[in-house]
Amino acid sequence: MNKKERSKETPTSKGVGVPTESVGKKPPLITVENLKKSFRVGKNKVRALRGVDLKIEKGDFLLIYGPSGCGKTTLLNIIAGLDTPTAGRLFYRDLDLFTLDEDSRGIFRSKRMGIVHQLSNWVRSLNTIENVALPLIIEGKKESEAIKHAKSIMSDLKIGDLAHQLPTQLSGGQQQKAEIARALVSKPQIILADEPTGDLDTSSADEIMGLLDYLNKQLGRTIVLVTHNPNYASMGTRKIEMQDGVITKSTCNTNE
Amino acid sequence: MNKKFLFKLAYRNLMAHRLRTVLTLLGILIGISAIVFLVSFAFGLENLVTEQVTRGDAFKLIDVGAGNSQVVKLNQETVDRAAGIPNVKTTALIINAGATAKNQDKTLDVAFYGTSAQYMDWSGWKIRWGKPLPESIESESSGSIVVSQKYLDFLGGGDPEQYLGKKTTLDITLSKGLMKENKNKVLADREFTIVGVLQDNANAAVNTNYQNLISEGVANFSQMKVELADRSQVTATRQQIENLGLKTQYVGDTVNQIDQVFSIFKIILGGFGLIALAVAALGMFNTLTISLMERIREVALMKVLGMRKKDIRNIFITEAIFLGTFGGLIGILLGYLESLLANSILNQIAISAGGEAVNIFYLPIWFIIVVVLFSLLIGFLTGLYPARRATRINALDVMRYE
Repeated sequence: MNKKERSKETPTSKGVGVPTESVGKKPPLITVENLKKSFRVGKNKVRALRGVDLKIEKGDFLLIYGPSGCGKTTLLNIIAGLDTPTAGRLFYRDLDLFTLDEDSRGIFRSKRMGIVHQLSNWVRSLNTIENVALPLIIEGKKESEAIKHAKSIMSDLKIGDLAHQLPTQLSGGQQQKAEIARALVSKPQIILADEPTGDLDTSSADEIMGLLDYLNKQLGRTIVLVTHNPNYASMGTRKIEMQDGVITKSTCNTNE
Repeated sequence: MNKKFLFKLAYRNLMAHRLRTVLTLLGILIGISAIVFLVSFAFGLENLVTEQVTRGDAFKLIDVGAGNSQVVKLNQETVDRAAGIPNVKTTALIINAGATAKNQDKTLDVAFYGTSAQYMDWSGWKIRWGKPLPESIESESSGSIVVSQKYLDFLGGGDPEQYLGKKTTLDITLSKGLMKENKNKVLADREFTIVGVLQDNANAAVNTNYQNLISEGVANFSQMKVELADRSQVTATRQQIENLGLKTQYVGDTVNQIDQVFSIFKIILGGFGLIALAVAALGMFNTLTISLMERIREVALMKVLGMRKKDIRNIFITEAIFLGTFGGLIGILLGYLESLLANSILNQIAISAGGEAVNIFYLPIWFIIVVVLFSLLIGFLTGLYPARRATRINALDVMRYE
């Protein structure tokens, strides 16, 4: 894996987005430096990110909040290494993520990141536990070992009895819990969730948000959550608000 | 991703659409079975023809003649010299002459051969009634002959057994090329005793011991068969015989010619099967491409979860190879069963018409292996495009828009 030495230069912060607390000896878990992303839709050039600076520390529960089209999902996809920035850099500790090729970023993602989508996605020919175990199998672990891990995670999330059902037979809330189980199975350092409650009824959505909160508070998981739902705007340890591709406000949750 | 899981995933994906998988397999197995059936028919025919040419001891024999040479003759001297070549075990001779058979006021031109029981045996001329030509003519009052059934038809036909021991009269014409004096000679009204009748009924032919003709002044033989002590030395021995100025022919030459003819025949028949297989391969290609379109979200998901391009490609190629290989194996079995059925029907027809049962189909093991590898290759090639396309999917676009 190619590692590129991290620049010692301080990110050119626009005054928002970069936490002010000391980072200690270790570099932050994730550092975003002047990230820009633009793409074309027909003849129009869309500037989805216009220069974002951000640091995410281990144990953070960061809420990225903002209206539709503000660039929050684009930012999350770039943090996941799924999308590439037009300009700027993204460090994972000391590693410049975009010095890696697509396959290497994939391997990195499977080992370090767990991803939860708004709509659950499944390999339909596999049952729920096999789907949950998939990241470990992709990583190269033996199927039996991967299933053992998946079983343990599913039991922790109280969905162990759904293991042998097809995921498409589960309710929306159950599917989202199974997605979270899949995101956790490889013991990632960070969970990236993109509107995980966007397609759920209020009660299921509350349950999922409660689960993420539990994972952060009780198990110390680092979570980045994208949402536009004001009901959850007060959750997490930190919140950044975005508008038109820039971070307009960064706050720490005083309830903590 | 480990291989075991890869196979499991490919199998589950195929089984998720059973009917479509079965129909695709059906196309492949029809194509493969057509190739197996037609090509095994060509192999069977080739075997039959080759067996006819090479029956008995054919591979240890060289045919020797003088060709059109006016200088070198196949006479006792050259025969002795050839017999003296180390790898030559024994020799047998034949003199081709003509004769006119007489039966009351009827006459018939027949082939008249001065030869030996050994030569006749090596030539596959089987005696069905009576006995072979005697080794020696010393105790004979009149020359012994072995005749074809056609000759007996001229004498009046009926049961061949009744002609054994009967006498028959022939005018024998010996051409000048055979004679010591280089002059034509006619041996008129020679009486011979029928001692054997040949199974072959193609020509009216009469065979007598060649010594009967030597005693009439014949000095040159028409042809000689040479038996080799070691048949691996055939090339060297042929060369040594040809060094005597003689011409040689070996059954291996004929077999090579048969091989050439049947190679073309196999290609033509195999070509018909290939057309069927090409249609099936297009069907398989179509199935795999549709399957990719249906599973595009799954592919995107696997990419998001970190699956490498190589593994994504392998999933599709494994599915294609599964289809190709299983289609190939079942196709071989089906083609084999078809050939057994056709062979049995054709043999029943042949037996009811008075013929012999033969194997018209033959499927060599190496050809089965080639067909399995070929179907595997077809699978691989048809899977290549959907597999490559799968690796090029932009996961984000798919997750966003599909």
